[in-house]
Amino acid sequence: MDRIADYQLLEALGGGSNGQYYVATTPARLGIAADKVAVKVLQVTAGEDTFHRLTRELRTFAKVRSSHLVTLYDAGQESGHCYYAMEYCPLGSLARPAQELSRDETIGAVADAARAAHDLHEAGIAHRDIKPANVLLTEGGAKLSDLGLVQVLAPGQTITGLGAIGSVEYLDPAIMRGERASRATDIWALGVTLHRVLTGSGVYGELPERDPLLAVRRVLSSPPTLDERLSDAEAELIRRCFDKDPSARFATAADLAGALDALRSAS
Amino acid sequence: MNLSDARLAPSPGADGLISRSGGAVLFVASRTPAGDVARLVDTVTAHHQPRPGRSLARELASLVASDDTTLPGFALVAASAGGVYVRVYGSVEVRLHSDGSDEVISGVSSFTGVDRELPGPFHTITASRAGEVAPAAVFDVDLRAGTTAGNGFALTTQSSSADMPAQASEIVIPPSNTPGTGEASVIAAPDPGVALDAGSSSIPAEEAAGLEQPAVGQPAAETSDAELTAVEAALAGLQAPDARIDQPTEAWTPTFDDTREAAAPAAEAPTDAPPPSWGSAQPDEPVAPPTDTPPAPTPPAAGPPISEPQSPPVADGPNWGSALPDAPVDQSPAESAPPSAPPPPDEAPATAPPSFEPPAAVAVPPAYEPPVEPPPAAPPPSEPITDPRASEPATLAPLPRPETSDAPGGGGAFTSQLLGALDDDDEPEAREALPVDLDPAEVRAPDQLTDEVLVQGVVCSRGHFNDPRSRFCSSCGISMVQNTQVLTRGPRPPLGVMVFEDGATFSLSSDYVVGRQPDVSDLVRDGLALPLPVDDPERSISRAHAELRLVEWDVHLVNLSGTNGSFVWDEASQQWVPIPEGQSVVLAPGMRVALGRRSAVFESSLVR
Repeated sequence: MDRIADYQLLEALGGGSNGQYYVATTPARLGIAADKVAVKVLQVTAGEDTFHRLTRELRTFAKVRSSHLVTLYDAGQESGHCYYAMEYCPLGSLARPAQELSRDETIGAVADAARAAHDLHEAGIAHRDIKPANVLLTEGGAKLSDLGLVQVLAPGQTITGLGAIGSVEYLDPAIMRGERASRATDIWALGVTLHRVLTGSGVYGELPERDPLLAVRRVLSSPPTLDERLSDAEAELIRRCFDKDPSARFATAADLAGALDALRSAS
Repeated sequence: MNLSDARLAPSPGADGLISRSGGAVLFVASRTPAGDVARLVDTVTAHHQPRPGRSLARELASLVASDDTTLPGFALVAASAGGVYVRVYGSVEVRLHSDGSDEVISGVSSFTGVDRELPGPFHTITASRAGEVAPAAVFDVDLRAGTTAGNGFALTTQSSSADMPAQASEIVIPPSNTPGTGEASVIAAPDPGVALDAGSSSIPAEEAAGLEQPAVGQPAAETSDAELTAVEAALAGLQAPDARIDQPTEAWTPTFDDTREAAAPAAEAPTDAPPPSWGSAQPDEPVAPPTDTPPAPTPPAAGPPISEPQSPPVADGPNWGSALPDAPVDQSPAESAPPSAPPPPDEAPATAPPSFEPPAAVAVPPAYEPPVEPPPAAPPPSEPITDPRASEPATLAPLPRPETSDAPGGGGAFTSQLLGALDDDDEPEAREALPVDLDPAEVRAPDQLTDEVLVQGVVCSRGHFNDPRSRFCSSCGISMVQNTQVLTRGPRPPLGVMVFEDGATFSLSSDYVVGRQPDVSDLVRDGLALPLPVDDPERSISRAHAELRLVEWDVHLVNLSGTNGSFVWDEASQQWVPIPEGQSVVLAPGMRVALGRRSAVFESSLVR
């Protein structure tokens, strides 16, 4: 694929949930200074209703004023293929940073993502797909990207198939069971994200990528466990993202961001 | 094909094993666990005959069926009476190259592997781990027999027409039910599901259907009358008084007859080629994996587990929705799909009544079409699909459409909406902040576009609403023993999830119609069920294949497909059991189901 709508796709950035990311040249009509934008082309072909729900969701997202959310520019469709364009962050993501990050930078990036999540929550939106690949790195801190859209694109579906298995690890199992996405489910994902970027391992061990069924079953049936290499303070903070007792968890993502800042300055 | 003369070159590496014996070549992707690897190798090397495909099919099927997830991936290529038999399991691929075409058979995304019999001939057959570069044919190496280390193999044969088995030309394709034309052009826009599956997307459906037929037809020829009688007896047993009658399902089952008359027979006829001998197929392979040629559409001949009342919940046999008609055994494909019916175009809008709403898969007409350079996927002028908005303005557009801004200078026609500059009229309504403290009753309110359904249940001491049969709260795990007497009415939480073998997961908070194009179902059109679109490259899934219907606290799987069928895995007998068309089964947590060649597991925390 080398073009969608009036975007010349320059380079594939890899797959995300529901679609593929590309770097593209900025069409003049966007009226922005940057010469490149990131474009996500969704796998689904969408009918009118789906496109309407999609743009509605994206517009709600775009309206949230937050310095830690990526800026969305444009959403559209061509021949039933939906896409949307957003700011391009060449420094990569927490999953694949362009340069190695220190522990403090890593924790700082997750704190920024937590602040972004909080801003979304205050605007009535749950992100639903927080994971290292969606925490983009910029000179001025990290930005949260790529709202989870599966419930918009396929009502009732809680996980997309075909390559999205990497996301399963971060998903609160409650969402998988069809429960309501909430502050708590995003805080859960932020905790798993922090665990992954600090230790390099997941809270369910390594999920079998080739066997999505087993991966889903494991997430549904086994509680998350913490890596022993974490410091006590780190482990305590992550545990509070998915404590069995909901009242022991962080009430808001802003609380979590505050705890992350404290964790960073403490060490 | 005679594989005994073929030249076998193991590809370099020591991760796996290559083993050759008679007319069979085995690749095992890993050398551990040693016990499982040895069982695989021993199974294959025990055969020395030139065409061991058929025997090996059975032996490997039972080996796979007894696997407790430790069995390494493997690929078997064996000569068989009908050509070449291929079985792949796990993360392994086999590629078959002939002069005309290439085939890829992948074990990825299937529970019990994939097997196929192909007529061939093929000049090169390779096996490798999925995702790796296929081994190149090598002409100065030839492993004649025995076992050696390797990361795959390339098998090269003399390919000449004389090598082709006589059987290949004897395949009988039912004249009227064979997909004729148009299958390849059914979906105007590229189907991502198909495009992403590297497995065998290159196989046209009709070819695949034709190739399957020896496998289905052959066992039928060996079926004795006695066996058929046993099947009938087994089916009759399902009507025994102790068999559970699924009354809620029964009550609405007849509506499917209407659906089928309206849409299904004509719609399915052109695309879903039924097996040629639907009623009498009775393979002697006791285990038929979901990705296989559909298991014989008859229940096990002996001792159907279905009528075992004492079985534990998971192993509990399926409960048919209502008394069984004798239709499943005797029904011929022609009855469900009249051969005289002209195959309509698969695109529903062309023939749909005026009130039809465009299905999601149909590309939305672009906002503008530059006359010079029409987009390749736009419908050509001769296409009977009309812009529904132009012809039926009054009955369509249920939702306001987003503003569009047409940007000249692009390559094709597209609709776009700038998200950066929003004026006030354009704003979606402001939402309230997400609650910090969720009411336990709210937590499980389905987060979807479904209507709330009120059911009788019990509330745990922390406020979660549960199935009255639960002993533990499905949300927090607290014991429910104290609460089970107090029934209250409340919104039904999701009853579990269906996890497909590719990881796609659907929360069961609503009724669903599962199929290749579930929007054609009246239930979906009338808003009574959500569409759950699934597809596979071989189109073994019908447009509306099955329904997942929530009745009180139970999930019923209703088979709507008369062609490739729906099946449930019976743990007790280790077999796939077909659900007769129009009948249903109550799913138990952990139960596996197969729809055509796709499979899924029902997972639920609502353990009782």
